[in-house]
Amino acid sequence: MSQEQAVDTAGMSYLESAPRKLVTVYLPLAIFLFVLLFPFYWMGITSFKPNNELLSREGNPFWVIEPTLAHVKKLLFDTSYPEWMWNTMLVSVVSTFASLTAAVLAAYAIERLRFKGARHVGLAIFLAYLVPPSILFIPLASVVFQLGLFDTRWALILTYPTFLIPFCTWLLMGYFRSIPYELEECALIDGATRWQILTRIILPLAVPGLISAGIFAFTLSWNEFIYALTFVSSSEIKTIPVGVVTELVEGDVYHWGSLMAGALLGSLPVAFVYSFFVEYYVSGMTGSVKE
Amino acid sequence: MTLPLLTPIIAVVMTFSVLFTFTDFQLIYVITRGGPLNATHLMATLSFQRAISGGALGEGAAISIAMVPFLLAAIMVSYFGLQRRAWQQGGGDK
Repeated sequence: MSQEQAVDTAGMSYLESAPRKLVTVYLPLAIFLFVLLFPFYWMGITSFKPNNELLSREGNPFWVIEPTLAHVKKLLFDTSYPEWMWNTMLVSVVSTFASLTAAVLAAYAIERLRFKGARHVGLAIFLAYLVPPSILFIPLASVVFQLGLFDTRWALILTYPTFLIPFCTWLLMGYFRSIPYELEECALIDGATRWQILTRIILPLAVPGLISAGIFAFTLSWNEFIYALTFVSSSEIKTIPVGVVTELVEGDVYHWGSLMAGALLGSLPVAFVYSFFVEYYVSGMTGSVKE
Repeated sequence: MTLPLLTPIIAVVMTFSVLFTFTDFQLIYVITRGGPLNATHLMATLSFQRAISGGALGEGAAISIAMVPFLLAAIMVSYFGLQRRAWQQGGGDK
């Protein structure tokens, strides 16, 4: 292993000296970090600023002189924010798991069962993902209303898979393709059924792929806006993005402090999930079985 | 040499970005809601305004459907224009 590393880094010796390393590694890294973290800094600083500091034109906008928890208090106790959080969590988790289950079966069938027209089904699923929510929301609104699901969590749980399933299927198809077919042939010879192959061989190998598809699906449904805006109208069923935007902006009055606190709190769970699974996520991007 | 080999990926990425930029909803809705005086609408936000806020479901649906030809054109361009050429797959010259 160490020998391989030596070979790998042989061409990179120009990175060794300290000043060069500063220019080629640390400086770009610092710029990158700055661009990445500045919005979060801005959200944090705004949510702790009292209103008169937020609106005054004097002073330093990048610092807060008298930090206050008033905005956070307003967010947590005067709005239904905890309920929005719970709704978003519930809807995202349930629809992610439902979509992943469906997508595993679909992707495995398309990739390995070799039925007639499998390729076309794969293409059709990809095309289904290309139909954007901003076209689908009107017909879906009509469907949701007819089914009597309007203004319930079920409306969201059942409509999110319309974009999650095609996406996960597409991602998992690519992942399953990278698992050698020979493994399945061995299992078939030993008398395994298709179901046993899927659960005992393919799924354990595909865990990184499943996790990265799951993270993507979770993030997509966490951030989903237009369906949540259209299908839900009462405050206690809203999700975070919709609730924050519709209830903390009153006409022309933006409650910036609470808005930012809501956005910051709302982005923490996703960041947490990402950081927890980041290793799997990376290996999910680079293929499954190392030969 | 690298760029021609990347065409299939570029096709997919381009399709996605064109599609999702064209049909973008939440940025416009969150920042301006299409205002002031409907000056910053995209078709998606306009159809939402007419269909859901305005109650004219049919008019909104018509606006949404009007997006489809553009999307189809975008998909066609990247699908046929950026497909792998025969010579890249080891076929004869074309």
